[in-house]
Amino acid sequence: MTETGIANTINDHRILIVGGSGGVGKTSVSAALGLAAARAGHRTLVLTIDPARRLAAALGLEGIGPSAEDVTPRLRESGHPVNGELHAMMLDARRTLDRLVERHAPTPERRDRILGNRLYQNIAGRLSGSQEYAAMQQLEEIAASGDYDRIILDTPPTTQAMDFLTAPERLQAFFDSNLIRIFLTVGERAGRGFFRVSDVLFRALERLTGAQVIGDIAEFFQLAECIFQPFNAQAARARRLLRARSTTFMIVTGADLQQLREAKRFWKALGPMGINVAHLLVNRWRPPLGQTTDPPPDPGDALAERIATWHAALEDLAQQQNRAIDALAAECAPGLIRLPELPGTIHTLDGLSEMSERLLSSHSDH
Amino acid sequence: MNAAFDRRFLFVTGKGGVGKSLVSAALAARAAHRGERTLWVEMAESPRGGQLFPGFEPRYELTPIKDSLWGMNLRLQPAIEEYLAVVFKLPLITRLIARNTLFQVLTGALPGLDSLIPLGKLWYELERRRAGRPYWDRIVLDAPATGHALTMLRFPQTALDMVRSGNVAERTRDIDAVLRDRRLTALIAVTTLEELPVDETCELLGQVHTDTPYRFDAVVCNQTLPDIGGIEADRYQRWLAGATDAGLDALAAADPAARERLRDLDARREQQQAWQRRLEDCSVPLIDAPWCPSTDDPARLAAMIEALNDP
Repeated sequence: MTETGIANTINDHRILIVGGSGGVGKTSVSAALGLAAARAGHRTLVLTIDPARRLAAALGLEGIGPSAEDVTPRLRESGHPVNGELHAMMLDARRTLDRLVERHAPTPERRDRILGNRLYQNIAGRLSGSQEYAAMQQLEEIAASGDYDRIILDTPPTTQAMDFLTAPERLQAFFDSNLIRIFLTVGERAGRGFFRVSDVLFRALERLTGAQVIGDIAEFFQLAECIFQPFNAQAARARRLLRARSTTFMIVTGADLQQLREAKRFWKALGPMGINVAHLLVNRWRPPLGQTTDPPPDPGDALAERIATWHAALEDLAQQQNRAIDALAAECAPGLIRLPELPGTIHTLDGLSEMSERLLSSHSDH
Repeated sequence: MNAAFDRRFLFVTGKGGVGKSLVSAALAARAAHRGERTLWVEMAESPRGGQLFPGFEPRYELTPIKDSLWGMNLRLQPAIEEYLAVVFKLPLITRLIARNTLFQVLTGALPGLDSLIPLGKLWYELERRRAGRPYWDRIVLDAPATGHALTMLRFPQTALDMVRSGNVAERTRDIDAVLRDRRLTALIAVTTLEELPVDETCELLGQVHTDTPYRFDAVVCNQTLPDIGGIEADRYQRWLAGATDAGLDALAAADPAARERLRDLDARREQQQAWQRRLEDCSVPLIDAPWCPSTDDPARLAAMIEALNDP
């Protein structure tokens, strides 16, 4: 809850995590923050997930793979030179998990069998939480490598912002060692009766899914036993990294009441988890213009009437939103910043550069 | 009115944040206003029902909202519990099983279960009868966001490839029949006219139409901005650009800052039209739902009901 501007936040933290609900402009904000950090002279990485095509084009990221790309030369060529460096990387959840398996599997044969297991493929590709889990693992890896002074993580687009933090822990529970032990036993005893409770459990599971799935699970746990320990160790390091003093969150929200409510819930949940929040950024804010009372338009002029109606509606909405933002700021929301809507969307480097400048010159409330 | 909205089962999906809950709630409330016995089903960790219908508390159990409208929040765990109770016919044991942590973790990770169980519950409610007639005149599902919705829609084909007999296969065939039947079921996508939601919607439609035998019947374009100029577009544009106009210059909106705000609104409307043209390539009927400049959820719901009645 410090009263710092964004420039100070970038100065004081090595890792900045940009979180919030889907559709609020997290990726644009992350890119603009990356640009600001690079301008301040830092060797910066923006780790992003599935950005809008036009934003990707603006950054020169179209078609790049999951390895870091240096966009500094492109910035220079287009008239936006930076003192530091700006690198960008696209997160690929499936590739990240595959790489972890490749690194930790004891033999190539074991590695191939894990990667080919149906349950693994399901977890890696589709299970809710796998993208968030991969993002955390990748962040930890990059931070440990020491390759960058500043890392900006654009979190995956979940509707509920909290998913980003709870999903990895739910997935983690899946890898819990007690589970493994039970399933290893199941594998050895061909899925039958070592003690009654689990016997009933497995019967229930079979009813739900068919016996084949149970076999897949048992095989997966036997194969993958060797990678759980390193997976867990890395996840624990990632959780510590999230709570480190050099890591901070920026919560991005829109100005809609629903979005503000969600942002507030997110912010309130982070504190008790021991996670720092430096800013709550209200993106695409449309400031009210002040009280204006319309003289009644000429009743015969339909256009004048429509304009008056919509003018009043726009002003009314802006004032309602602004009141809600004021209320949030009064609750001491950390470094609340209002970032006015930029004309057009951020789809050029010029647009991104302007957003970056506005971020740096913005002031926190109070 | 789009005839698809009058089918008995409406499956409503869309990218997070585009107003999927609002549209599905409006479709349900609209049917209930006409006296139809209607069930509105959310599938959310933090359901929206309480904000849209003040006084209503969404939970797994069917709960009356008002008139002939009922609501439920279809969560996986209580649905599994109910399913097991039906299979084992012993409620106490099933509760012990279903609340076991190990069991919860496993079922959370099992492929397809998060599709099979909710779809199975919906099938059950669709099949329910009273005095020879369907118990529900209409069921509106506020389905999960596009990613999970796609998984749900792909589920029957995937499952039938893997499992040919037994309880699971049987139930899956029932679900497949419901989703195929275009007199019974309508698939509806909700989007806003912006880059990412439109991209995601086109992708969803393409994938469902390629991978499954099911078809989307309508795309609701939510938050369509007003065409203030209308038939006087030229006059409005000239005035926005700064020209004087005796009838308009007296308005408070003629103030430079206010005029800039209106200009910005119009520029965004033009962008929306470009995104709408992209959606037209998907060959699914588009329905505009106007932007409602209000922060009050019940007011937005009322506006949406009106928009869907009179598109």
